[in-house]
Amino acid sequence: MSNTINRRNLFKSVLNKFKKNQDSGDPLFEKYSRKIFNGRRYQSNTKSKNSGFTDRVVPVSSGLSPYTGIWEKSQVLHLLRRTGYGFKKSDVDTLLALSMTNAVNAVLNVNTTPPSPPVNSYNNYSPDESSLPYGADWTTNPLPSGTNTTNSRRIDSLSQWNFGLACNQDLTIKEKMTWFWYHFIPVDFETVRTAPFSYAGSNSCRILYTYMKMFRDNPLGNFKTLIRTMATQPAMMYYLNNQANTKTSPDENFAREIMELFTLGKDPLSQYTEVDVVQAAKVLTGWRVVNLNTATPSTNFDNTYHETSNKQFSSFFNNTIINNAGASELDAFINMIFTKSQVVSEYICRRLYRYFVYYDIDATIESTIITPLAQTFVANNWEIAPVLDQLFKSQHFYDMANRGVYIKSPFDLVIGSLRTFNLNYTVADQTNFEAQYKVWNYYNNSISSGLEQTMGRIPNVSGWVAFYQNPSFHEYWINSNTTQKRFDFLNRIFNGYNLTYNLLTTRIEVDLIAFIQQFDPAICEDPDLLVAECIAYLLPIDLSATQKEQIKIQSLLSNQTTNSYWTSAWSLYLSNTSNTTYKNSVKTRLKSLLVTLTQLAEYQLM
Amino acid sequence: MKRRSFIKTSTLATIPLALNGIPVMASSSIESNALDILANAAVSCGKILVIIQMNGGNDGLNTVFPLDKWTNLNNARSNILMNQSSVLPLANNTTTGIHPAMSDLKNLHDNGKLMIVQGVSYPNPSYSHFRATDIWFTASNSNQDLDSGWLGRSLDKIYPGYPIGYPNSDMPDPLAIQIGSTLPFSLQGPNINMGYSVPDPNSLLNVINQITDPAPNSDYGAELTFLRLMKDQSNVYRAAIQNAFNTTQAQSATYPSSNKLGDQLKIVAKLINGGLQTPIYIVNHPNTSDLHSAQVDVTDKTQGAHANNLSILSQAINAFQQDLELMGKSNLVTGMTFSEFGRRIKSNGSLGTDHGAGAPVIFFGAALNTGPSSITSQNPVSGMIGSSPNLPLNATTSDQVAMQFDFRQIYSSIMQDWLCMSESQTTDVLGGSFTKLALFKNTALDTVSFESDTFFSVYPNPITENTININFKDSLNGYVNVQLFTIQGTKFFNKAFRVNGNTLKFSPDHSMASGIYILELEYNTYKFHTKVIVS
Repeated sequence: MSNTINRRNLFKSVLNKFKKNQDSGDPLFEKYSRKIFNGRRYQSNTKSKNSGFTDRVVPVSSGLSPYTGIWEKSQVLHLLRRTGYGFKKSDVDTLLALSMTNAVNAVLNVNTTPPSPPVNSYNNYSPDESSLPYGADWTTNPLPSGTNTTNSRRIDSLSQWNFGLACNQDLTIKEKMTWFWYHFIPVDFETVRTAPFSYAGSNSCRILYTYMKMFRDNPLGNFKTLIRTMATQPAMMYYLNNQANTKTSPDENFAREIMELFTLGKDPLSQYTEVDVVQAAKVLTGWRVVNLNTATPSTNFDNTYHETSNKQFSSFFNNTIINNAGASELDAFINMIFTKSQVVSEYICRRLYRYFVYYDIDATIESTIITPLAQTFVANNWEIAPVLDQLFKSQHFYDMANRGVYIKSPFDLVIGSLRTFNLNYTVADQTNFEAQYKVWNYYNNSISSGLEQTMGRIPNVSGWVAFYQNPSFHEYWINSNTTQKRFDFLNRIFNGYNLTYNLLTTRIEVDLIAFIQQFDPAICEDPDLLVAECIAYLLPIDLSATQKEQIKIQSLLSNQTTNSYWTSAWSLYLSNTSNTTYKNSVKTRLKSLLVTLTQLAEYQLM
Repeated sequence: MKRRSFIKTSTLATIPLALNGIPVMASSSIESNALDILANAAVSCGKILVIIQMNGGNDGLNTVFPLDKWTNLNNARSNILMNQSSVLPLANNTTTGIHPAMSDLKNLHDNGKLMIVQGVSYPNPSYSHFRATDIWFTASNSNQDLDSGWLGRSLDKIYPGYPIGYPNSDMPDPLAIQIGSTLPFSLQGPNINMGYSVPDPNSLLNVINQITDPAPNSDYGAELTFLRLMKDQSNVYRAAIQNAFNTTQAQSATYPSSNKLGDQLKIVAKLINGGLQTPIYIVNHPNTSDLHSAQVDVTDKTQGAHANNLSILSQAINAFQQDLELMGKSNLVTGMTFSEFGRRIKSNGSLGTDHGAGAPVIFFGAALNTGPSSITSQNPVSGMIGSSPNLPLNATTSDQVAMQFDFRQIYSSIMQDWLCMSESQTTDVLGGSFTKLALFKNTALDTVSFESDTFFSVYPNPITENTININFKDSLNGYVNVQLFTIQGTKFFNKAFRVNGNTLKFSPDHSMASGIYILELEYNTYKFHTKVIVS
């Protein structure tokens, strides 16, 4: 089992990076994560233990042929939760009215109009060092050197603004796809900010903005084009040191990662060699970020720094030679990578699958899903949209075996719950930029951060471990530090609290009555129907009749067994909605119901 | 000034302790000690309240019978009333008897371990389950709406700032535990529910009420299991609860089988035995008390749904009380029943009763104010506060059992005389002053003071170097108060100490001249004394 030992050490060292006071790994996690435990106790007997990751508990044979089953709210919610963060009831209604095909089309119909850029929200407590006014767009405003404080503020506001966009998303996949790209080809904002190059310190905010814009403005575009664009994005130049890559001292960081992480991957078919990395580094020499301190930074090719030999690659690349040709060598290099179309396409499709469906790709899924998806990808010349179209319209996607298996990422949990429960993440006064950005900051930088996922921050260039780290994948979100915080966050939104920033107080508390009034009146007044409806919307898999009955009795009926007690209380409230007593009587019970449901472990799954 | 009052006063205008006019200690150290005492009086109180919720409105008149009003009672509900001869009489109480299904509770009563408070209600009572439950839970007026529970607010006073800074060494355990799942509104504090739901520690994933579905055999099931385990295992209180639960019990009582209330109380008993410092436990009677119909068996009115409920209650309480005695903690635990209202005097045509007003609240435990010495004007007899309810000769459907005591008086008594809260804290929580009832034994301060050998010893004795070394037989974790008197009875030393372990060592500020002194030590309302010799 030497593979297991090596992976265990790798897992430990990765975890150590973001564990606070743990000596070696998280004891609870190591005890209960089923993959590390070899699944003996917590999983039915599976196939061979020597596979790198365990097979599905129950084999899934459904394939990519179009889904023809029922199209009801369960399927709609599954689609929305996987392609967005949480859901809005109105979006569920919209998609329910369409056929499955048209619903998926709607989700993939991304509006590529760029959103309004982030603004100076920080002026009151940190006056802009280039005198940009409060509320103004900073993305085209270059900062003179030495204005690092303002640069930091702007970077913070960039993270916050991103969080806000996710909160305010429409029903398309746009935001979630932006974060797919970010999770896959990330730059850590702080690392770029502190990159030791002239002008980077004061202007990293704008190149980080541009980097995110690259993803968001065309999230379903052409992958090969994206790789080419990304390769010379200023932020990436700094992040993976290509900015420092010269002919006299080549820096292999980007050369390696572009192959290992962004295109070819590390699965068995990917057999690029160290020689390839060395040669790639040479190809990549000569690119420099220029005009950073102007409104339009760019990355230009400078032959002075370029390595001018002919670059001989390995047999994996069919012994390709990239001749000395200056700037165009980069394109040749990328073309060469993409000639390994099977390797690249399968790798990307696995990433897509793990991000949108489930981490566990066994041999069956590899052949019935990944391989054909990869072929679609290649056949469509690296366009992403057809791949997702095929995936989201497939039987496999809606297969019950894939429902409720995905542990919500912190973004799914936090942004998802904020949206689903219609909390006040949009402050009342939209001219109070400071307050608005600080509300977003609270959720991104305190709450979600506490759960170990923050917009703008990644542990290292591989991204968030939950999305790629064998053997436990999304179980890595759940450790002794983060578990209770997930439940505390949910508990608090029902108890309610105030966020006061810049003299504006925003009440964060689920409006329980408004939440259930999204449902049919006939449902609200019948406690059985109400419990069932809430479960249908909030949990991925239905609960047993016994459990639903218990929940109803203990929450809506105050431990009585007579349904009419709830019905009367609700009718009484409706007859006079301004009567505090009637209102509190139903609110207490609704709170009990929704707290009970969201405190279930089931709510952590989607 | 009696020490108990000294603890309870929240103002710091306390009397400095003096020996012939000379302060024994610098006043600042007295005050800081007092602050320490005050702040922690409730924390180190050590008393436990167990609340048995009987949801639905228990029929008080069919639980605790007014024997002296039998004719009127029979006129009102002959279709459900048993023969008078079936009612179990209570010792030294000619007016009142209890349901034959509760023979165990009768025994408890006759042994001084039951207290019945008659006619508990409040002005303008509500007959709605929801509203009445909320009123009892929040201790509001009938026309008021509060958004927190009386227990939640009380716990917030005793443990301010919760959950921030908890658990800590002063309070490592949950503030309140409910055996079951959905936390009751009574525990809702100002910011958060102060309670903690304990599933059966025997099986991590199953809650007593079987509210959690087993995980299916699928990937979903596997992920669910992982999440449930992590949730349970990472809970800050998990270790404390597991440890308490797994503490060996030298002897334990036999609990009735197939009695879900007994099952819950058994868990509570184990946690208490294990030394959990949690002061509040809430358990739920498994059946509804809302018996609008078929309350009794037509052929034998001592049997039926209500009898069954009472039997469950009585047997469970009995086993629990025995268990407490066996573990030696019966003086620390008091239990009470709770129901949001009583039922109509007049029965209905379906062999049941409809919603009513006043009803008795039953307390059980070894620390109750029972016994001949406790009889005061509030207690015409031992074991009962108030009198058997007056009933009209021919009750109509609009007649209700009258209020004798406001339920908040009960809360007030519990908060001050059991949970060691101060008067001002109590008034704050209840939003007003409510006259206490003499529910609990007067503290040993006024009565008994025990020779110390079983509890502690002073060694060496005669003492040396003006230092008193006290050795406790059992390891303590709490506060003791020490007083020193001259042989003539003049007190010259009075100080509270935090003891965590077996020893306490201190020196009075002034050198004790040779002679014999009395040392009095108080712990958990019990007082012990011994002689201290200075040679």
